[in-house]
Amino acid sequence: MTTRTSVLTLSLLALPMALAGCPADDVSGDATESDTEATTSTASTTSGTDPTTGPTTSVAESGSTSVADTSTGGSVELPEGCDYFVSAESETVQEDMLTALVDVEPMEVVCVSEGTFAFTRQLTMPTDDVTLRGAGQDTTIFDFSGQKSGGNGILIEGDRNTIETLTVVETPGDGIRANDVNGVVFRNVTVGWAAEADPTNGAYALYPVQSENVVIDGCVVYGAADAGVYLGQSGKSLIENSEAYGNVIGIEVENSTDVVVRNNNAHDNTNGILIITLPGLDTLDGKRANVHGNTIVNNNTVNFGDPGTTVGILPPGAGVLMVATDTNEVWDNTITGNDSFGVAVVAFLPSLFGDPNDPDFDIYSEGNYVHDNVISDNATTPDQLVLVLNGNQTPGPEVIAGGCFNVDLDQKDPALANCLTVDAEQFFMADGCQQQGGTNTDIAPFTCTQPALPTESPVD
Amino acid sequence: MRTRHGLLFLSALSLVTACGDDGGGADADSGASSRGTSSTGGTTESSETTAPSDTDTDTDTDTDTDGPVPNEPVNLDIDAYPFETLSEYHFFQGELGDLVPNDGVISYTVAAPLWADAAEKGRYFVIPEGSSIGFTEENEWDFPTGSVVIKNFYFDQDRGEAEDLRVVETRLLVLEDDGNWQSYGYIWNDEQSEADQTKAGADVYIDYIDEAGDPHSQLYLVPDQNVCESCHQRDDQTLILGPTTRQMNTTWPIGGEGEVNQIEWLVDNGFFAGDVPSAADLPALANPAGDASVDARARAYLHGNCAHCHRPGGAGGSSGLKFAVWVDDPAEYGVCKLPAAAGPGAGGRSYDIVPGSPEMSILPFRMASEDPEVKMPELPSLLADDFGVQLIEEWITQLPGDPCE
Repeated sequence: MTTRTSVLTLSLLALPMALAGCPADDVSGDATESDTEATTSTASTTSGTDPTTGPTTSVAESGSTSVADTSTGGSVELPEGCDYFVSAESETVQEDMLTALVDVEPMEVVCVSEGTFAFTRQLTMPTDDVTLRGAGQDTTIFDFSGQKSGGNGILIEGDRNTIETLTVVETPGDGIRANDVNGVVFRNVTVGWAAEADPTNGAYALYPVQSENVVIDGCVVYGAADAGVYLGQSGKSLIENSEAYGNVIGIEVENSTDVVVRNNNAHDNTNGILIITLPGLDTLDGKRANVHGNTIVNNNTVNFGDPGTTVGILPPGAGVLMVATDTNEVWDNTITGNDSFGVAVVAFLPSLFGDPNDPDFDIYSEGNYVHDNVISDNATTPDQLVLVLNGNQTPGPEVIAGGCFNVDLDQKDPALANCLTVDAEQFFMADGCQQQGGTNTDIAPFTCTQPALPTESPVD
Repeated sequence: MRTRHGLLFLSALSLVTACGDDGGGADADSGASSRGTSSTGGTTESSETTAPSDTDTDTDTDTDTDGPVPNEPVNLDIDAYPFETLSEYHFFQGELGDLVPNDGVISYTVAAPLWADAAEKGRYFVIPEGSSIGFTEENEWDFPTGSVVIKNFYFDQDRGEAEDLRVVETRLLVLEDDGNWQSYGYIWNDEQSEADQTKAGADVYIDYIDEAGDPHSQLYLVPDQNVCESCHQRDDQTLILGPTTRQMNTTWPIGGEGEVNQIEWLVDNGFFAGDVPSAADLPALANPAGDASVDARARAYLHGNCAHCHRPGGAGGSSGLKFAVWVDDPAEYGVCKLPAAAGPGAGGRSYDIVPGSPEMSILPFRMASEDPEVKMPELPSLLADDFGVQLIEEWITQLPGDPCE
């Protein structure tokens, strides 16, 4: 590999070029911070002294016009395994980062030093097979509190990117979004908002959507005003070994298929884990989430989501909630201390969620299999909304079936039955669709099994 | 004064549009370029490529050039791209700041432009000699490899009676042989004599005098290079957005000699491979600020400002919203549609569009916002388009249908 100078050094070279319009050749390799300051003031002077254009426009932050890949100048050795290096010591960290992400090519690695990086723009990653690597999950911090532009802190559009060992905080919008990618890895990444239960926090911390082969491993997400991990309209993905707390939804799997959610800790959210299918989307199906080995405790945070959204109306105190989703398996989890319920399997009730206004949408949850979990100490003080479902019981049932069935299909096809292998005294069936002639506690119709889902990672 | 001249020329073009259609069909004898379509096309032949002669683009001004400036042809050697400075491409002849299109560089407009924080835009394209454009009625035209689309973003710094135009940035899209349009950005200097390539973009403050004579300063973002794909990428391909039949089927002094229908002029001058229907038989977007029905104007506005993302495969495809003008199902363009992942962008409202109730609809709420989390479009503008918000509110107010339940 060729030796490359650091982006830090180069940006100090590039800034004067952009501001003063000098040809690249004029710049020596010995730029210093004071050079940068001097050039900035030169630019101001320039803008004020031209009699034809008048005092018009000034460049507050200039783009780099140089590239990182060069053999000239430079004094900082690249760390091992890095093709670009962006240092928090630079006066122009944002330009350095944006430029590195433009210049980086497939199979290359952009490394970032420890320290706090203040960004005012979204970082966009359109290139395939790029790694963005911080120096430590808690020590490389991307601070977007001053962000002026972009709906995300980082937007990934290239396939097979990896983001690892860094923290993203205080994005006005979403933290890190991966849009329409095949392959993305978030490893040891923290994304969050410090303000507790603040509706002005961003909606999603980790937000892969319309993607597949997503891996989320060792991540921490907190404070999201919608979902800490939001996997939307995606397939074949793995969410593991991660912690979600203080979000409205800890981990949300929405309109997604073949997802393994294992060994995570979802605590102190409004709702620990939500498996849901929403109407009006092109990917109008969600099934086969294998949710096991997770700890889902004390998800009793007040719902601070936007009241116009689906999650904004969900009750606090919810452990695992499944809505309009099929053939998921929830097993070997520890589900405790959730004040409204431990597990609920319900339809997309129009009375609760609104009219789906989508003729192709199946509102029912079917073929789900809940078994072999530790479910205890839940439903001690159910939320008002849950009291409507659970027959106004406090403490309430820990496991709730919504009581909505597709009468033409569900009870004729065993594969569509929701099988809830739980203690009979924990169980309650609501009459959510006014089909059942009332609620009941008869678990017999739910005493069945479904085929176990594969436990290996679904990711290629 | 040289700089002023070019800008005046540029503004003259805008004024012509603003003043409406002066009629007239395409003039095949206009002296503008005539293109053969028999050549293999598609590949550039190095910097010696010569564009068709077209020397009448500056007839609106009494150009007093400071002596003869050698007119080098446009450099379409895309393998050598990007150049560090805009002048190296020779898209404009004479002094760069004059913005006089070089031979073969075609000025065009679109019917329903994207809001860009009040920036005005000068649009041009150039295609390699001997090549031609594949016509399609619905989506983006099929340009030959090596084509370049050039867009200048400029501001009027005196919005009172005087006019003081300043070009801030120029964006290039270059069609590479893998079928993707590669973007390059250039930032103009204060002297308006040159523009330098930028990868990281810049935050630029635009100082201007408003209609009442009061000074203002407006932050304007020159985008970084990577962000271009946020709008231009669909289904993993990077596209151009403007040159489509509906956007181009309007009048403009495309040949430099008065307003003509752009598609007719391009047909008459041999730009298309194969037959193209008469422009009158082709679909067209309404001018959102024109006098068509509010429905036609609103749908044109949504098409031009939203549909590049909000369509299947686009960056906003995951929302399920589809704003292309040909979408007929009201539920698909938001009527009584539940938001998928709006978060705080919902503003406490439950549906994208509630007929008759803009105040209950998410769409105008997000259009009117300047909060990065809420605002639409997400990028790259910072400011709401008050005109667009008003148009969409007017449209929703008169939309038929029951309130959503």
